[in-house]
Amino acid sequence: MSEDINITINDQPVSVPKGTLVVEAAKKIGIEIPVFCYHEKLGPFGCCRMCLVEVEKMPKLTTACTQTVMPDMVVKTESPKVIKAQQGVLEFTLLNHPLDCPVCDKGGECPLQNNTFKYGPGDTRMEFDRANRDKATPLSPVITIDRERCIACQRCTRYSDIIEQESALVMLNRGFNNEVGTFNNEPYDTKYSGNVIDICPVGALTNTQFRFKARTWDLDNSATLCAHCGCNCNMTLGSRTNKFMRIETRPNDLVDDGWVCDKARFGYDFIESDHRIVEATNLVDGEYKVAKTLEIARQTAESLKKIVDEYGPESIGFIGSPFGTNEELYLYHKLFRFTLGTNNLDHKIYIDTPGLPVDHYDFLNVETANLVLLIGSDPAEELPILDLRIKKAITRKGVKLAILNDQKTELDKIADLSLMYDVGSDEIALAALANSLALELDIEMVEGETSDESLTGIAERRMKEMAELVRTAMKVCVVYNPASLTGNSIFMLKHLLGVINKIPTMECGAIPAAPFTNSLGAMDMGILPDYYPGGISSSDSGKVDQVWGDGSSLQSKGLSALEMIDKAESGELKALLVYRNNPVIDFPDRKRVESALKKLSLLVVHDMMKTETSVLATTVLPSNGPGYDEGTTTNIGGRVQYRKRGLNTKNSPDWKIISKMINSLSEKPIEYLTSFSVTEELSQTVPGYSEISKKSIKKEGKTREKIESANGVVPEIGKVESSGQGLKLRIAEQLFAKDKILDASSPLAHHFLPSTLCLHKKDALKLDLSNGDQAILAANGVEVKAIVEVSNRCNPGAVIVPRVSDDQGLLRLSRSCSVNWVEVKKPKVE
Amino acid sequence: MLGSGALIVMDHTVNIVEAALRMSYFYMHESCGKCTPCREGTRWMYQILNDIQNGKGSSKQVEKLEDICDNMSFKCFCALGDAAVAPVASSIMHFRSDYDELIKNLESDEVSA
Ligand code: SF4
Ligand code: SF4
Ligand code: FES
Repeated sequence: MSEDINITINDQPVSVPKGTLVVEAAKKIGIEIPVFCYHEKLGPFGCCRMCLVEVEKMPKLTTACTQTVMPDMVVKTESPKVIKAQQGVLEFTLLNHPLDCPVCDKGGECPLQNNTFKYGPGDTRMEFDRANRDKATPLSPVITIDRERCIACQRCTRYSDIIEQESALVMLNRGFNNEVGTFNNEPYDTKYSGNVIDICPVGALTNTQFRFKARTWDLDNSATLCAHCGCNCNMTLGSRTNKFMRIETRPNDLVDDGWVCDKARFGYDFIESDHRIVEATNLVDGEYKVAKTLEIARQTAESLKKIVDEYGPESIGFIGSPFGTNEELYLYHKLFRFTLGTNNLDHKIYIDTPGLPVDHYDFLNVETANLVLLIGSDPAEELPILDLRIKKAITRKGVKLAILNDQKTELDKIADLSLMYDVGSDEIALAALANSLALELDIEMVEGETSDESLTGIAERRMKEMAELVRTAMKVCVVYNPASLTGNSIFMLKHLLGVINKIPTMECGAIPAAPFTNSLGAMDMGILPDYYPGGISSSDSGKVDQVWGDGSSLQSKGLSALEMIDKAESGELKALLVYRNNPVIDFPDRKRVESALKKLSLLVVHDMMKTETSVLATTVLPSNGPGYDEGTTTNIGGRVQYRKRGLNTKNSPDWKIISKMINSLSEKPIEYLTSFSVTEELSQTVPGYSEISKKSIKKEGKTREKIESANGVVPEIGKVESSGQGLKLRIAEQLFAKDKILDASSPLAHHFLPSTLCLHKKDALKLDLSNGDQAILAANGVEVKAIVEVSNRCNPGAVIVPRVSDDQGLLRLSRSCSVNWVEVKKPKVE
Repeated sequence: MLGSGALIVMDHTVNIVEAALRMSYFYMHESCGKCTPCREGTRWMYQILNDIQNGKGSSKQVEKLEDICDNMSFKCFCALGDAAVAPVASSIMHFRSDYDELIKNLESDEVSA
């Protein structure tokens, strides 16, 4: 309902909402007003004076980046007065700017260059030596500043203040001596630091990796997506002669709001790693023999078929990946369900189901909601760009934040209410909140005692406060991490969503914020034992047959990923195809997983990196992976976008390998020409994806239709875990972990943490441990060393251990995806 | 006003260029550095005045000074930039002869050299 205001710019009329800045109004009608300090995400500041314009009836020129439109305003951007001012400002700006253009990284895409060409005086009147400053000072291992080139526009410092809200980068000193730096010269190493490189209007802030490597106009730029987490931020991958050069932002307000995190910008070294799998190999007499990829694909399909013929379809399984593209996962679903006839498909170890009982919200809703309710999620470590969006909503859009979690997170600082439940009591805590709301609504409640503080560590009074926040919010956006929930808690969470939705006049939606790149896509594509694509339950044979044709529904109940490991151990599962997953490290109880996998007569690993699982394989197939692959992924907000290829490879794309497997077993082979041929097919078969096409997702992607969840009955609270020995273990995600993606040679290695365990001070006292002590986590006959941090990051009775590396092998300590117990002890003195 | 240095009384023996130089040093030092014209302009004016005062200036530079004043005035973020312009602009306007004298010396030196 915003009022529109009419103004005239250079004799052209334009009508814009009240509050619009003149510079934006001009943009709307294609009039450029040059700027340096102004950036649309940072708002008005007015320091560079580049944007001076003449406004009738105003005595002085005014800055178009700070001036909002007024009714009947008459603006001139090309009058002699303005031109004189522009030339004057540019002369000042260039006065002490070095003549670095021929070697500067910004050359060719530099606002200072561009503005100078268009609006500059054409000559210099500077008769003195230009000031000299430091040419290359590292601000962190990944960012180098050239202080001579800085024009003190303060975009970078304001970014640090307003966007990432760290105030880490600041303007030091005064007047001509001012310079960009950090307090006490500490490194500028936030999670989002790299964005300052893109917004710096000159070549002052440079990417240390990319510095002097190539001229910008020589780069091949690919409009692609980040494949590190479920945000799916848009980015540009620049390469030269097929060598990786750099990552830059590619703003998409519906997804990333114009930013990427440092894991995107500096975390793509793996695409040129020596550990990539680039050949297909077969284990013959204890030795891996290389052969043609598609030939091995054919043999693999035939071997799987042979096992099915001999032992039945229950004897094979597929462990997929929340990192693959929709197309690849869709084809695997077809291969296993229709060609081989099994429902044994899964991609994760926690329990989750497709569909929501409320709206599926996207990132914009975070800003338009009145309350964000964050459950079991730590966006800063799991989904960094969602973290920025939440910070923006809370600090600049007046949205409230309520947090329900088993650990302290950074967002607690800005939360209106943050409640911490005991590790493992998530189901009861969710039930308590749901019941608190249901009581007022007079609807069915979860049975049993939920409100007692001893059950969850949260006092009844506090939970009521949270219920009150939710009840009065009008529009709630629930952000939850299914991977952090234990056991069957996901059903309680969905029950809670349903209850919130029943509050009169309530608008409620949710974002299922699993940290992985394409978790949503993997569920949508039916990489689940109990659901076909589009959230159709396997038991709903009518619906399955309707979508896939008669006889498509399979009788068997599929096995989950962990059940497949059980069956492999017992010998009932004979063959397993693992696609871009590493069960040996990422599933509980490594020893057991390894021995189970070794018992298989066929273990096919289709992956892009050598892993602890691939070394056990009888057949290895190369997967191209991010950088080389192409296809669509669905982000946590339900937006389907296209991940374009960045570098060329001679290897067969994954979809070709999978379709080869399908075709070698079918009478009616389907030949796909490109990955988009698969997209086209799946848009016709996967409910929710009917609008997805090459065309519709081209620019900003397209939100897939919401997938309904089955109408749930009120869940029962599961049996409370019998108490175990020691403390309850909670493994926390760490953004920069030393794994297959970021290895020791990564430019982000300075972020790696040592193995650490976080204790409540009560437990620390009991165990006689204090900050910095060496300690040992013991369970399953395995010991993991860690340094003690007494931080009250969780309630007493539990220990939080960040997953800092693959070598740490944390999952060895657990047995299942529900509560696991560990003993924390002092190391033996020798 | 007197205590703040905003009003300064000088007699005719004072070299106005030197006075302008001192004041421009003051403003260069006071500039916070936020906006470009003030941060760069105050320093440039000081550099030029310094040349002129030390007998290294030219009449072209005086004209340039006037133009720098024009490019700064009413274009800075705050009034400090305008204040920095005032002594320089007015000293040229009212005491141009003081400038010319310093420059003449130089120009005649050059001829005789
Ligand atoms: S480093 Fe770049 S962004 Fe930061 S103040 Fe200098 S010119 Fe502006
Ligand atoms: S937030 Fe996630 S998708 Fe976005 S840039 Fe970072 S890792 Fe990539
Ligand atoms: S862009 Fe307006 S003052 Fe810098």
